[in-house]
Amino acid sequence: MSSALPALVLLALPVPGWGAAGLPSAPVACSRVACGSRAATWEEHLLTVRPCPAPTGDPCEHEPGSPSRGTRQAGPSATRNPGSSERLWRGRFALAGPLSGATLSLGRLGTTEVTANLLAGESREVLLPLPGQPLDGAPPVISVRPEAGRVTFLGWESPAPWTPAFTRLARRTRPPVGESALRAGWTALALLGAAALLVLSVRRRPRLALGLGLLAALGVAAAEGAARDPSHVRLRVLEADGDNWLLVEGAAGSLECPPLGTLSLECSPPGAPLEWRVELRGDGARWEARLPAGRLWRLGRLDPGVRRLRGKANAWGTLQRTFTRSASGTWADRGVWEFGAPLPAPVAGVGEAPPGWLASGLPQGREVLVGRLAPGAGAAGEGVQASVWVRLVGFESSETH
Amino acid sequence: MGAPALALAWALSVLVLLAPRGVVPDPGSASRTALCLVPWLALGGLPRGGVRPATRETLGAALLLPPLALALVLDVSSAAGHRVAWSAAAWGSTLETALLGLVLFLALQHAARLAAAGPRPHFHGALWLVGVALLPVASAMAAWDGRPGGGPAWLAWAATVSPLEWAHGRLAVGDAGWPRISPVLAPAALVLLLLGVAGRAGDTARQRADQAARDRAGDGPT
Repeated sequence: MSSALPALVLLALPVPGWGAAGLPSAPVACSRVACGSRAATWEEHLLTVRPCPAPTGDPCEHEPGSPSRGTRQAGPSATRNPGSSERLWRGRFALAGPLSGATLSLGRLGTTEVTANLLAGESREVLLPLPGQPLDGAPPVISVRPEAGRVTFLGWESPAPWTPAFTRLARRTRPPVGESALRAGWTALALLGAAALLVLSVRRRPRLALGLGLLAALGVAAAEGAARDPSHVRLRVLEADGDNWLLVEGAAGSLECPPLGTLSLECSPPGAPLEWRVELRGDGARWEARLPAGRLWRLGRLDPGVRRLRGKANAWGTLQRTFTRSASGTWADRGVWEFGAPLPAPVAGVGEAPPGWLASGLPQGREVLVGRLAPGAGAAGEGVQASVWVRLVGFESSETH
Repeated sequence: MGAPALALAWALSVLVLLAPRGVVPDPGSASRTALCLVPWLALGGLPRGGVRPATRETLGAALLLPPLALALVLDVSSAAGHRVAWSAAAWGSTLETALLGLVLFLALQHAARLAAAGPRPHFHGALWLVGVALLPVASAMAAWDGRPGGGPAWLAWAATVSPLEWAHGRLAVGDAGWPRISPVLAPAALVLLLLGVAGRAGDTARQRADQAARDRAGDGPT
């Protein structure tokens, strides 16, 4: 048998799964069924995410470059980026102890795992996140631990209406996350090499070689597991248009979503089963969305308080990188913008524009500020191991440099 | 597996895990566990001549385990936002891929060794060539874009018997929870068939060896 055969086999087996395009296609996405653009089985219809109610405000108002009125869809599904689906639905539940936990299942849409720790006689009414809403409004299948506990579905909660300003902000390009860091480091390579040499050194004693291989596997796994750094896969963008602010946070695999501050959760691939994890605490709850091998974006409320970004003074926080775009469309790199300082002049000889995903799809004829906040600078950047960008349309540079 | 095959499989699986920029394309969110298994599944059952000691099978498994464990951790940490999570949801499908792949690799390797020891290894060789290599390649070539499984439906269906096609199918499996077992049934059936063919060949070889030994004993001085 030719030794070239395996190489031919490997070469003839391209890997379409490389890159996001290879992920499994969505069984059905919310907007597809709503528009009737895809034939779906009865079962798919029942397990499909229901489109949200229409937002309030003037439906004609839209940003240049955004979908026209005729193609506009309702609610959060109208604002999400292509290739993702809305996966935050809320249901009201009554919990009665003794209850350590419960699983709320919506079939292939996913599950919600609840950790409650209620004692016998305790009861609580809570809002819980669910990965979708069947078109017939059927409740999730509930299983409780222990069996003496009780969880009762009280009904679906209507999502908060979206104002036109939020809809415009939510239509912007999402931060790219989660595909850059999934590779082993050189330390892992060194460990693998050492393990291979160790195994080969005892190749005449197969049991010992197997034992060493097993030990090396555990060692490599432990070392790599401890070295994983979650900080570089999260990205936050503080989207703004005038005085309207929206927080967009992206992450790979899992994302914590504060119950009160989260308006919407988008997931890609759209049809993949999503797992919500809810930990009920004394005075609140911790929500976490998990999508193995997927990407998640959370859209949340952001109240800047007294923080402002105006040309005459930076009243927000130090920006490590600052780019401005004039109303005529010319980008300028202004370097570091210190807290409290006026907008610095463009850096001479530097013609860099901000990253493409931050610079694209913005309305023409208005001034724009794009900047990267220094770690820990200002609202929404505190305590977050993530890159935080600000994208402000309607920026007032005030003075001309 | 011979020494060159072992070295090649190890190097390819490590290369996939390191994915150095500019050398191999970024595998994106594809399952590293499945990618790591592909060279071992392709080379482990490669038909060959000559009798090899059983220790080679153990050596192959011992060399495969560390890269496989690393791939597992990469997949699980990816599923859990780059933090290793000890939950069934994060580990389920990845662990299943690793374990089933390991079993397929061991069985393919064992079948190849059994067949090599027999008098007619070409039965095993032909079956391996068609079932493991040619069907997925033909299915990929029949697709207009060269995508595995993209050819005619019957060919794509037939190609599912190949462990390589199974590994390819696992590339995009990142679902939470414990996945379905059915996709592995077809390659498992092929591997059992390979083992059966190799086992029969091995039995025949043993019978002939026993017969030869008896003949030699009968020819000796009485």
